[in-house]
Amino acid sequence: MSNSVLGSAAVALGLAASITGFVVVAMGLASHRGSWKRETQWLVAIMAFAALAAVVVMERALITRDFTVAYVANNGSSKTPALFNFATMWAALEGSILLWTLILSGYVVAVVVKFRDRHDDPMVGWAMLTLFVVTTFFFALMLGPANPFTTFSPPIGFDGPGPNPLLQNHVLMAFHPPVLYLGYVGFTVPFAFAISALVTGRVGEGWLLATRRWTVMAWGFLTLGIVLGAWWSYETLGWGGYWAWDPVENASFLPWLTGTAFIHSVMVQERRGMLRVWNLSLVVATFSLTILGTFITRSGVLDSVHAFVESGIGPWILTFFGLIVVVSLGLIAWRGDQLRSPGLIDSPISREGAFLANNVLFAAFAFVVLLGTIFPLIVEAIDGRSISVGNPYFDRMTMPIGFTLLFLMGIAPVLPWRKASSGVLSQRLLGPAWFGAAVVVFSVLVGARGWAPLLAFALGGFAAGASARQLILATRRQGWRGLIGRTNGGMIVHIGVILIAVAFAASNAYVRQDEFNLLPGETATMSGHELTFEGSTIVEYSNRTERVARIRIDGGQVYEPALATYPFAGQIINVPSVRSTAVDDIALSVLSYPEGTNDAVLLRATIQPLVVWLWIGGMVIAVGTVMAVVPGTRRRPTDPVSAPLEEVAV
Amino acid sequence: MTADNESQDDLSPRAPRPVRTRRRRIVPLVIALGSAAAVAVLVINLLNGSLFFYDASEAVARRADLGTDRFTLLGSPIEGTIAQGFQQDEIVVAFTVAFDGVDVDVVHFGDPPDLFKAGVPVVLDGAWVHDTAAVDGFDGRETDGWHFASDRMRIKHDNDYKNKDTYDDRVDKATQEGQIVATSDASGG
Repeated sequence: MSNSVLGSAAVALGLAASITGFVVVAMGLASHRGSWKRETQWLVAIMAFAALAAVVVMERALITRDFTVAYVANNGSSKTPALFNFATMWAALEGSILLWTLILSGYVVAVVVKFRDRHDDPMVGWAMLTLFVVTTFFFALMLGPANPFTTFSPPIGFDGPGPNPLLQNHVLMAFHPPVLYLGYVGFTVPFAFAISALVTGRVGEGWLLATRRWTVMAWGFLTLGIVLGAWWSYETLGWGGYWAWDPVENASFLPWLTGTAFIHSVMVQERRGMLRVWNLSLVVATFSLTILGTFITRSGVLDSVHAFVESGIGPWILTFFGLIVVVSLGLIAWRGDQLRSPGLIDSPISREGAFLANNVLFAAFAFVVLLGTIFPLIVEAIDGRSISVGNPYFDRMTMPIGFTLLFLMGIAPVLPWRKASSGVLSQRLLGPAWFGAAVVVFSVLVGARGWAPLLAFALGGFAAGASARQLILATRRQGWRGLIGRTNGGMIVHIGVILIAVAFAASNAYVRQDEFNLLPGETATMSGHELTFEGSTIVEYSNRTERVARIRIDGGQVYEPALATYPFAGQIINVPSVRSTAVDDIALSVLSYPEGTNDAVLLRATIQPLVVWLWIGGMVIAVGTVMAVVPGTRRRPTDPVSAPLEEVAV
Repeated sequence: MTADNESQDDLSPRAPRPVRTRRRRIVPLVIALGSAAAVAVLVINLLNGSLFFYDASEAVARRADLGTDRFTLLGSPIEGTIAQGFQQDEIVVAFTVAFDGVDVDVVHFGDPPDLFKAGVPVVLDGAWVHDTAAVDGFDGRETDGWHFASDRMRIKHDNDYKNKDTYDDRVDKATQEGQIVATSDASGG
């Protein structure tokens, strides 16, 4: 049986299981009986099996170069190396929807396993119903406009073009999309429980507690996915940058912003019972933005360096997005009376006051980025003209918000709930403030100048001091257990974010770039570094030809930037080579390759300080996220102080 | 105070304190004014940071309306027109771009991107200048006395993963040579 038939059958089976699951759960909820548990478990298992089978069939088609599958004919090639051939599954639209569906099915299986003892609970039932709606949509997409198993009749000797050359020249491309999707798709679970809370009217803290770790894990994956994407961009695009406010980058950043606001504001609801409408709105916004992001990246509606193809998927996703927003807002309005806070914030100088400010800033940040991203669409819809929003808009608008968030990151962890006295505040902030000042003095001594980077270093030092203070207190009290739990893990995450913020400020403020025309044996000097052109060579690979320039840096190791030609794709790709140290990075890229062995190479060198700390910061965030989901010992996890008793029992 | 002590705080809901009438009036006013100021800053920055996007053909047709306003220009550099020089110690690249049969002379101040070459579409930010493009070695194609002065250049990426022309050409060639067994129905991609 052909791969197309097998794959299509698997997708059809998954769709059938999703729809049946929806019907079974709906009937169970309508008849107020919990006996749908067994059927649902089977249907979820079948659905997950179908998604896995479809992925296995696609990989089989890619590995065997079965060009009768149109997706393989369009994106596969016999010349693509094994790892990138495997990763070709998520190199284009249909395959990435397939990956999305597999991950979504995996999350649904995890929900069924986790809540297996609560099958009588309507909260879980409505969440399952919502999850089945989402899985049905994605399976339907694969039988409609994003069918990965369309057939093709290849001519004899046919070979496909392979994935975009930019997607097959760095190993990070094999990991960045799956990790990002684990984050994107993970937010479906808290969204499903939020909808369930609204439908059942149990809008207290129960649904937050049930999904707390799911949210944190999804956020961690999304963060790691974004960092890996920036790293890939830095290592492969050769322009010395890692973030360009590109619409696709913004599409992943938007749910990150609202998701970050959410994981902070849930603590206010758990401890004080406040911000119920806000939390529901944030989780709906986060999930909606993942769908909107899919629309932006996959519909071809906005030009982007990620250059995804136009397809018929746009109207489907936009309709689904509209449905989510309308239903969610309708439910929030319907439950308005039950969502009132039981009290007010006593003082703005309190933990909840800081969280509220943090949330206002994250919401403003998200609004700024969303507006800048979709403004071209709005203008084109109104007067038909194309417009582009440049980086200066994003830089100018987001920089003050970023500074204020760094400041709050220093203040919030030391603030007590309810109200802080000036004595307590000054005692707790003195150490972090001195540390921030010391960081600035050190920075100036090593040559840092400019108010913006110095302010970033000062606030970074201040925030790092506050986080370190919390961790020191916790480890003194509890030993190694002082590093786990939401609060302590969160402090480790804060340190990762601070590393990224400081590295971002330094690498952008102190970037130096120059071009050199070097004959073999010649040396150029730049910012104290010596770059010697040792010669050039041509290397043939199965999928490309690389014209390599050999550059020795500071008399040590030789680095090999190149120009790669992918014959079938007809594109020349710059393959930069980067020397990374803890202090600075030297990124080399070839602008013009020497014609003969004695000719000169035109080389561009970009030196940026502290870039490597961006990636280290990402790893620290990942570690902190894992620490945060491990249960700590501070307080019982299910002890919301404001929820009515029947809701605590949820 | 340690985190443990914090957890022992009395966090149970309290009856809200009576809010003074004057404070009740001022707080919303301050929030409204702050929000209005934030929206104003946002709109001003958005408009200042946005550029209309025209291809060479549209840019020439709208030249009178555009005046000296900045906008984004799309076109492909024409083979044999690219010249590089210096003006006041700054690298200057002059070339002619074409789109839909209309040519525009361009003077770009600064380094061109890595993959800049004839035939690869570029996206340029800048404005019309009523002057000839005076760069050594550059003979502009346009003789109407206008050129586009640019200070930012990006390579326009193809909106497709692969070189579709090459791909389609291969399938067409194979079809004409009788190698295709059945009609192609490849889609997507």
